[in-house]
Order: sequence, then C-alpha cells, then structure tokens
Amino acid sequence: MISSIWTDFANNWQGLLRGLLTSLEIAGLTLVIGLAVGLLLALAQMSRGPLRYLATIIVEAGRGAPALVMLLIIYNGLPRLGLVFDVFFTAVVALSVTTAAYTAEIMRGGFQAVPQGEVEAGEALGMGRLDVLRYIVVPQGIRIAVPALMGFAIIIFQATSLTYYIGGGELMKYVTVQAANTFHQFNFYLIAAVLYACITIPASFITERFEKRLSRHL
Amino acid sequence: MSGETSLFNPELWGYIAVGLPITLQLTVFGFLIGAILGLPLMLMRRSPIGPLRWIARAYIEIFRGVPIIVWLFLIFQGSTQFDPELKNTFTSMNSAILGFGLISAAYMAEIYRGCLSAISNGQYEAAWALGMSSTDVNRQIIWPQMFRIAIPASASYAIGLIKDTSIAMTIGCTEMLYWARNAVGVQTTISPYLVAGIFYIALTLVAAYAARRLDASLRKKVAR
Repeated sequence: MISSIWTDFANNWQGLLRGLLTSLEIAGLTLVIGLAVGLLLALAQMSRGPLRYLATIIVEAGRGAPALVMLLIIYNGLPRLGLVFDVFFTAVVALSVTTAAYTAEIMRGGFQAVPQGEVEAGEALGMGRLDVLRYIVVPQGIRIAVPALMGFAIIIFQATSLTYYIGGGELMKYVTVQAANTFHQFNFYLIAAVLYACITIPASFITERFEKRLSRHL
Repeated sequence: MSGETSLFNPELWGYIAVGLPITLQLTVFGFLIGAILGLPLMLMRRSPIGPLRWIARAYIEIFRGVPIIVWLFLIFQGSTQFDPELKNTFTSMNSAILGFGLISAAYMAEIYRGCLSAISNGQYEAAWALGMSSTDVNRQIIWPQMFRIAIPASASYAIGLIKDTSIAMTIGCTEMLYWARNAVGVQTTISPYLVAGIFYIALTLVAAYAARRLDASLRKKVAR
C-alpha cells in the first residue's frame, strides 16, 4: 500500500506541488489584502464616529458566517455586482473578507493591550489623536498581535482548501480530480494531508518559538 | 423548492432550517467525542513516558495542521478505496462526526492542558498536606477545577465548530448549507447563502450567550 501511495505521488508530483504553490499564493495574497482591510476595520472600530457601527457590523458578520458560506456568497455575488474575476481572485476576495474580520478583532485586541499610560503620555506631549495612534498605539499594538496573526495565517492557509468547491487550481482541487480519476481516494487525500502538514506544522513551530521570544521579558 | 429565492420568502427560511438538526448533531456529537478523547490525549501529552508524549504531540499537531476538508474526504472517500462496501459504514454523517470528533480531540487536549497549568500549585500542596492520594487529588481537586476553567475556551471552540460543520456539506451531509446550496440550484443568487449565514450567526450568538450564563453560574460556586 505504501508503494502505491508513493507511485501516485511520483506520477503526479509536479501537479501536486503546483497545487500546493497555488494554495500558498492564494493564502499570501489573501493575507496582504485581508490584513490591510483588517487594520482599517480595527481603526474604524476604535474611532468615535458612526463609522464605528458599520465596522463592527462588518467584523461581526465576517466572523459569524462560516468561511465556506462567505466563499459562496462572494462567488455568486460578485458577478451580480458586475465584477467578473477568475476563480483564483474570487477565492482571494472571499477569504480576504473572512481574514479582514478576524484580524481586525486580533489587532483591536493588540491596540487595547497598549498601556493607557502611553496614550496619556503622548497626549501630555501635545500629540494629536492621529499621531498617538500612528506613533504609539499602532506600532506597539501590532507587535503584541503578531503571534495571534501568525496563528491566523496558518488557519487561512488551511482554509484555502475550501476554494476547491468553486474550482481553481489549488491543491485540494487537484487532489479531488486525481482521486476521482484513479479511484485512489485514500492515497491522494493522504498525500494532500502530508503536503498541508509540511507547511502548517513547521509554521506552527515557528509561531510558538516567536511567541516565547516575545514574552521573554514579561 | 417552489417559489422564488427571495430573502423575504418565508418558505426559503423554512427550507434551509430543515438542515438545522443535522448541523446541531454534527456539532454536539463532534464536540462530545472531542471533549472525551481530549482527556486521555492531554494525559498522554503530559506523561513522563517519552513515547506516549511524542505520540500525543504528533496527534495534536497533525490533526490541527491538516484542513478539516481533507480529513472528511480521507475518511468518507478514502475508505472506499479499500472496499467499496465501506461506504455503508462510513456514511457522510458517520464520516463527518468521526472527523470532527478526532479533530476536536486535538484542540480539546490543548485546552485542557492550558487550564491545568492555570491551577495554582497550592491546590496540589494543600491536597497532599491533607494526605490525599494522587488519584484523589486529581479526581476531587484538580479535574473539577480544570473542567470549570475550561468552559470559556471550550465554548469558543464549540462555537467555531458550529461554523466548521458547514464543511460537511462537501461530503453530502444534509446540514444547513447543503439546503442553501440546493435552493440556489443552477441560478446565481445569493439570498439562500445569506439566510444560511444569518442562521449560523444566530446559532453562534445563542451558544455564546449560553456559555456566558453557564460560566457565570459556575463562577459563583467556585472560589477563584
């Protein structure tokens, strides 16, 4: 059995690795967009205007709805808004919504963990509200949030597997096609599991290391 | 489903609500298996015997590191590679509950472990000073506190699990998203998915409220 798994891997390794690479690309681009929007949402949530309520609704809806539901809403919804993207970018947009909502909450937690005394010190120096945010709260808050953000990045990389449902060329899609063609379902899903683990397990070790290093001085 | 898939069509809401019992079954059974299996897994993870510890560590890392959908397909479809008859055993429901249960065990073991380290050493020392045996210390002093402390973290895991059960739709479980997908049919409409999304948000809000109540009522009975 081991040898048949190896044969399946050896015959398809190029396609498998290309799929894994696409998964990584989706995750990477999602994080770039999602984190930027997440930061804006976090700042909007901390603002005093009516923008706060809108941001809270977006964050709560984005975290409350399962990623797969969000994916299907975006997949069917974008064309209705006249936005026609390929599957890759549709997947990125959908996962970015989920990412933005979750990372907004993580970053807001980081911002709130910045000691109030630092904010007051900034204000005492005559800094404006925006400068306090820019030079004091955001840089320190982001640093506090980094381990949690890294943990979330691993989760969103795993969530790219959901996008097989709308097609596209990532690992899970490739594997479902091969499994159906060869009837070697077990072999191919096991190979997929190993490939995903090859990314996520080292990444979670790095996150753990990083977290320990950051908390060294506490 | 007859009729149009408008957001304001009550029939659509009823059509998707049909999947609610299945969503709840997946969540409850998956969580229960995880909460039970998590305990021996946590004990192995803390065991002084190296190999036991390594097995537990590997289990936790692997089950948390591989996407849920891969586990579900591996169990549901993977079993048929060996014997097509296995599909009668590994039905979509059985496969999903087993998959969610095994994954939950990994997360619950880590939650228990975190809560155990939150219990102060004084509790152990006081129990030993009273001459309690180590089984009694665990059974009567430590574990009740551990389960009590574990409630908020377990609850937020369970709430995440409610949302993750939507993935079971991909192997054919007839839960809420399955019916939403059915209502969409071939047309590109989003209202069924919006309805499903609202159901999920409502479920998580109810679960969060229940967890807060449980936490608050138990807090009164336990000195911290």
